[in-house]
Amino acid sequence: MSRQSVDARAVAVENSITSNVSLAKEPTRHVRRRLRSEGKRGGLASLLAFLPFIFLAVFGGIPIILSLLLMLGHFGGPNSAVSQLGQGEIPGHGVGTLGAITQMFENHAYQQNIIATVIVFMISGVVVLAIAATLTLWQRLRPSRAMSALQFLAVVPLFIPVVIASFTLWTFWGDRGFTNSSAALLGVSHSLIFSGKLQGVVLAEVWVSLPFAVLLMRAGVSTLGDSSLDAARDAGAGLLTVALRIALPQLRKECIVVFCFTAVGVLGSFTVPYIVGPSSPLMLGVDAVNTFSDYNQPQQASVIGFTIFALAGLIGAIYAIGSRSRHVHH
Amino acid sequence: MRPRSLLITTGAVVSCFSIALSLGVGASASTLAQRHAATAKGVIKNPYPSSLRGSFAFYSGGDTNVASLWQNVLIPAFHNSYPHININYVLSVHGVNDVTTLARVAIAVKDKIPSGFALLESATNAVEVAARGNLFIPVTLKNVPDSVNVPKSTMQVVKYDAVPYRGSKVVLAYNSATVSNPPKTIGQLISWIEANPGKFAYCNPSGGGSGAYFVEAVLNQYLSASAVNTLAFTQDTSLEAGWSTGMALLHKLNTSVYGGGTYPTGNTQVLSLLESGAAQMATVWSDQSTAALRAGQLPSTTKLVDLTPAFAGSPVYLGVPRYTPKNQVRLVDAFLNFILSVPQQAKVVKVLAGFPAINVSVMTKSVKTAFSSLGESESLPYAAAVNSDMERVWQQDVP
Repeated sequence: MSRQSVDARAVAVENSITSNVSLAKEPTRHVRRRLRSEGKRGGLASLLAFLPFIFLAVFGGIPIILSLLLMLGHFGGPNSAVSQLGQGEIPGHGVGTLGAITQMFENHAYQQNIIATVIVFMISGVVVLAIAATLTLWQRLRPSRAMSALQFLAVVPLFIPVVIASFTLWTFWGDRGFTNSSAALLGVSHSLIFSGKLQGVVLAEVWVSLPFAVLLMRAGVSTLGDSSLDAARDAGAGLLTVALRIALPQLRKECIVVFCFTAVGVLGSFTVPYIVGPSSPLMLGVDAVNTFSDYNQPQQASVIGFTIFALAGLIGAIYAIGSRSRHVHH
Repeated sequence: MRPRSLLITTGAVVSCFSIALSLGVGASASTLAQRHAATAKGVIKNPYPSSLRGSFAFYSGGDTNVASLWQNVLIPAFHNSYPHININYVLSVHGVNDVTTLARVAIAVKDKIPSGFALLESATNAVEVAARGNLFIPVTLKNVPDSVNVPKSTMQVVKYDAVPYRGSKVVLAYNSATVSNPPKTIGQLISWIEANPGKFAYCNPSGGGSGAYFVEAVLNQYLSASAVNTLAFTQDTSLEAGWSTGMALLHKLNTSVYGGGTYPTGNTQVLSLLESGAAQMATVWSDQSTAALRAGQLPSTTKLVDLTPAFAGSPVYLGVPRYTPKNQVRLVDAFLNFILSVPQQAKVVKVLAGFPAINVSVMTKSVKTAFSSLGESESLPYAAAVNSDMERVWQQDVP
């Protein structure tokens, strides 16, 4: 906890305990005395608050630093076991080598993989946001039994393990699956197959990410004040106008959160693109696992890892920019 | 008699009885083990008494059928013969922890300390890589006498530092109802694929050995016999440059294979394509497909056949890391010796539908007839490091 928040808390405690104005007028001496005793209690609380950070630094930060060293070609110390058995390694001296990075980025197939991953997570994020917003806003503005049943169904994928869902969807959208068989029976098409394609990956990722998005949007939608919605309706606005121009702007933060969380989840996903996706181009999660385990190239796999970090940083930037509080001009 | 002395007497009688019983059980177990050893062809003496005590950890990376073989068949059978040895069986499904376990063993061997595991099996080629990296204790006829029946070629691949306990090879499966004249050589298979687009499927080589060995067979068509033999044991990037012709051919076959270039993720997905009739011909593992046929998971019209030359076969190796405590090594050697005995190898055939690690010639008649249709011929697969390169180059050049 920062010094500032401890100060603020101390002052608040002071003001709540006593209504003596003189104390409030002379905060310095009393606050300092309070701060000392508060500080002792605050010290333990500060330590507890630091624990998650310490945990993250040790179990997340240290491996990231080691991976960075591996990527730059330093194979000694903690990286010696992994690199002893690795293949295709490019050693680095001094600060390190950018050889592994250039080797990967010059590869045409890898460039295709990056583009495919970006397209898939952007589209998945947008589709999930659209569906979640539609479901929740509709239920809020025109409540009905059917819509609440649909919302419940949208949360069901949360309880189905992703591996099982992926295999099922691979069959469902496959050659002999439901969609293709129905299309063939209706005479519409003989190859309405989404398995083994990026479209299938998008559909499956949407299926997997929808529950979280619906729950978030539902929470956001429930905070919408009736007054603004009723006022708009009384002024003669239609359903779509109320939703898009009155309700949605108030839900900007929730929309940004839903989009960014979905995008980051899809960016790092492995199971869905591995089972449902195509052999080429690959999503970066699958490519990283293949490069590390199957091609036995840990250094190149760490390049892929840092590419994923960079893309996640981009999504983080979108989140940071999008959730900035705007000043309301009267 | 007074109650207290009655209690003492009863206690004495019960304990004498139980000691006699356990000794009797132990005695009968050891005679059972000896009888097993005696009925093996060539009468290999078992140097491990059933009174051995202790426990060790066994890491096993494999599919669910392999886990079932260990947990439901082989380990309980071992416990019957050696009741005082406990095996701590650690499973990693599909070998997802193979690479990390291998790294852990490598660190331990470098520091000259026990790695925590006394026996390793991998679903990927991790054990072969480790064996060729001098991480394992050599397998000798002295400490595993039953290994005399294992063919020398399979031991040479791992420089005698590991021992196989089962095998499987890749065969061609086809639906005899729709395919009247199956191909007999690799060349004929490629012509068949081009003439029948969308009917043949093979899995991504990174995901399953059935696809990997098909790719190897196509690549080997354009390499000399000596090059193929070298690549079976060592990595040689100059020889790997000769893959370009084969990779170009596989790239051309993209439009003719299932789905216009859709490569299923692994072995079981290919089997399910055959099951649903989406594919009419595919390369599959002999043990998985035989077991699936028995269970009715493949159409009964499915037939399994070898090509000439046969696809590669892969023995599955077990290795003992260096610096494992000596008492545990003795227990593990007793286990390995037990697994390689004829009755246990017969179970590998019957339960897993796999190939035994030992020569079929020393097995019983019923086992020999089970192999008459598939035969014993198989090619040598690429060495572990070469296999990794092949998967990487395939991913670049083919899909």
